[in-house]
Amino acid sequence: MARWLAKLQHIDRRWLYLATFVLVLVPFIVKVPMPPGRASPTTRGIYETIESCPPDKVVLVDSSWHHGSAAENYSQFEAVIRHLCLRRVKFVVTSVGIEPIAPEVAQKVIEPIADEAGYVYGRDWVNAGYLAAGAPGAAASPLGIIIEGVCRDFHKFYPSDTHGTPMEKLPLMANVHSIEDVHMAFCVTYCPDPNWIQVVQGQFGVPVGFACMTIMAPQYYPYIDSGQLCGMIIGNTGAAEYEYLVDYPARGTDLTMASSFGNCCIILAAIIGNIGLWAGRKERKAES
Amino acid sequence: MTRSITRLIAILGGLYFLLEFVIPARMPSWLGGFENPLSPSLPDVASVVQVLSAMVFLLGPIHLARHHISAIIHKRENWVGSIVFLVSLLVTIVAMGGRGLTGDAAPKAAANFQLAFDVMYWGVVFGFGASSMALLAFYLVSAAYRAFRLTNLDAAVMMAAAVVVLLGMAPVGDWITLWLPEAGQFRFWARKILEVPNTAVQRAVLIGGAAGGFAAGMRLWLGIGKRGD
Amino acid sequence: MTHPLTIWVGVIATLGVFSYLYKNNTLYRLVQHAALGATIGYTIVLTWTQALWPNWAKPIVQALDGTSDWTGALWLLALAPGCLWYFQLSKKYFWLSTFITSFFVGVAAGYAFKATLILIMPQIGASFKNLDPISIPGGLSWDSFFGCLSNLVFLVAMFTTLLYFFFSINTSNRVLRVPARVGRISLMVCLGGMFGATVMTRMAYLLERLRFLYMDWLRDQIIAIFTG
Repeated sequence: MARWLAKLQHIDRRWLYLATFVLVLVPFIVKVPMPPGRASPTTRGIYETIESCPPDKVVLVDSSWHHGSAAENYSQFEAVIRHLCLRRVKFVVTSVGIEPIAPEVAQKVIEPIADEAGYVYGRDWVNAGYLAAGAPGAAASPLGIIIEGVCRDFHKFYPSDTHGTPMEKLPLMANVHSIEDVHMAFCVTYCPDPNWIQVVQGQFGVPVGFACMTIMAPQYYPYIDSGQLCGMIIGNTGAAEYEYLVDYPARGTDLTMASSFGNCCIILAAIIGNIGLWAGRKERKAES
Repeated sequence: MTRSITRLIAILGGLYFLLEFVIPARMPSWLGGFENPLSPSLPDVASVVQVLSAMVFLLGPIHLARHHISAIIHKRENWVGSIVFLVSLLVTIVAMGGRGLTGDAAPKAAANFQLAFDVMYWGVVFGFGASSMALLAFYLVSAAYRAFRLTNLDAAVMMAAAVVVLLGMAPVGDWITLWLPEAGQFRFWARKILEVPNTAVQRAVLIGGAAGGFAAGMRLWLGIGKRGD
Repeated sequence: MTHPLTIWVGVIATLGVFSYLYKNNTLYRLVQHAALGATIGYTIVLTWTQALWPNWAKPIVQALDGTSDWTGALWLLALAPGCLWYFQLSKKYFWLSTFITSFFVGVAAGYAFKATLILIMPQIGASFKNLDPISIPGGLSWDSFFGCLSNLVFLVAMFTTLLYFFFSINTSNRVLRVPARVGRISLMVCLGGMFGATVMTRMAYLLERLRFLYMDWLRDQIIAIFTG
């Protein structure tokens, strides 16, 4: 028995890849039932902050994600935009950072949701576009400085939107000049920069929420604990919780369901490896 | 001489922001009661910083173009890939320029250019970028199989915490433990692990790292150090 | 609605990358080069159209042709420091690029003073947690008791981690050995949580691609042909 189990140490990695591929494909083909929906306090924080937005203010959505983090940011962004549209909260989308394609990606996600909700571009939402805030080769990015500048004088940094339309031609922007017109700042990206917290929440007292990839979430928990972040949507799990709160299951629910199978793959691989190790040691001890 | 000039530029560059923060928003009345003179100009200074940081955008493309053109001319290894790189670069630039076409003949042409861009970005770049990251999942399974050995207490504690978080953050944990009271569910303990020990350790690292980073930043700004002194 | 050509190209790119799992091959390298070229292409165009044209070039053009205030022409002065970046391409004049680099280093360091204080001070304040369950509104209850117990675990974990990592004290003596060990165990729990989070993200990448391959391609493009 130990000899047979010891063979588990020598499985070719390509068989492992194939087994992983097949196992995680199952939930897409076979409809697996979801357990009853629940939302964690961190996800609820974002939801309730958006729910409390007064009609004369906007939500600033900084969307700096692209293909590299679409796996989790897509579903998070989609869920929050849907909430903003259903709740009739006006929003302005910015992309302050290092990814120039981010406004286009955001536009593609927002358009079908806005059309479905009857949202009109320029009146209910605006895509302000990309602002360069990285200097490759320099020791550090001037992101905090640029965020602070945007907070103090929005139109100076965004004289036109992402399509080149001057801001004075967009009715929504007549009432958005600085951070005082913003109810909440919400950042969606792989790893939201803490400068958003220090500028928007620390200096101006406006609530800040993050939507990040699960891998980065543990490092933002200190800000949740101190109240510097009003909430955080964590990966596809957070997106699924948000979809439960807005009662619109979509991509996040599909992907978080499938993640159960993926997580089980990893746990099984570790168990099989350890069984093989234990059996191999037992076999060597028996032989010696 | 160059080192002195760079040090002076670094000091002057940081001095504005340091003074803007240190000087109060309004001076006390016995000092004149005037407002911070640096704060109103911060958006203008930030705008200059933003433009200067954007101006570097051609540096990387020039480096890459030089490398790939040289590879094609000298027929170095993988020179066909260099041709693909340059063609892809030009197609994308032309497609993005063509999208903005106006005029009567333009709608169909602009739509074709838009399709070309969609194929390049949503097809090639998105497909490559997302799939490259997806390879990591396979490598993780392989690493879990080969390297995650429970040989001592520390490794066991780490793996136990990982398993609880993995099961608690996915529906599988709810399937297994939903019938238990809240304190017995994987979801509860996954949240507790992240909210208590994780937050404590992350905060300790944050505070310690900030102290060290602050000191290093001041040394860098003032040019103090092995080469500076 | 995504054009079928985009989906088919995406599938070729995805399967080309996945073929690397078997071994490095030509298709993978070609997809890699194509993606890199496209990335550089859109970066150049979008940085110009979104960041530089509206904030730098347009004010200059409008000032020079009289459609707006003359002060826009002052942006021409940014050309000199902006061009310094490109001296990195020259071995002889590389030293000129150190001026703009040092400017950004100085700017970042000067701003970091403010950023660090505003970000970290609330962290220190939030570390002072309530350990008395009776003082919590609602009085003594199981919730307040376990809440204070969590706070105690938090404080112990935080201080022992600081002891283990940062205070540069020799922890091999008998008094400090136990706290250092507790700090190490706390670190292991934190690292375990971070590892779990890492696994979730890596799996999410794969799941998103499988969703695309199955739903957008196999189901909507291929199976739809047969089912009508």
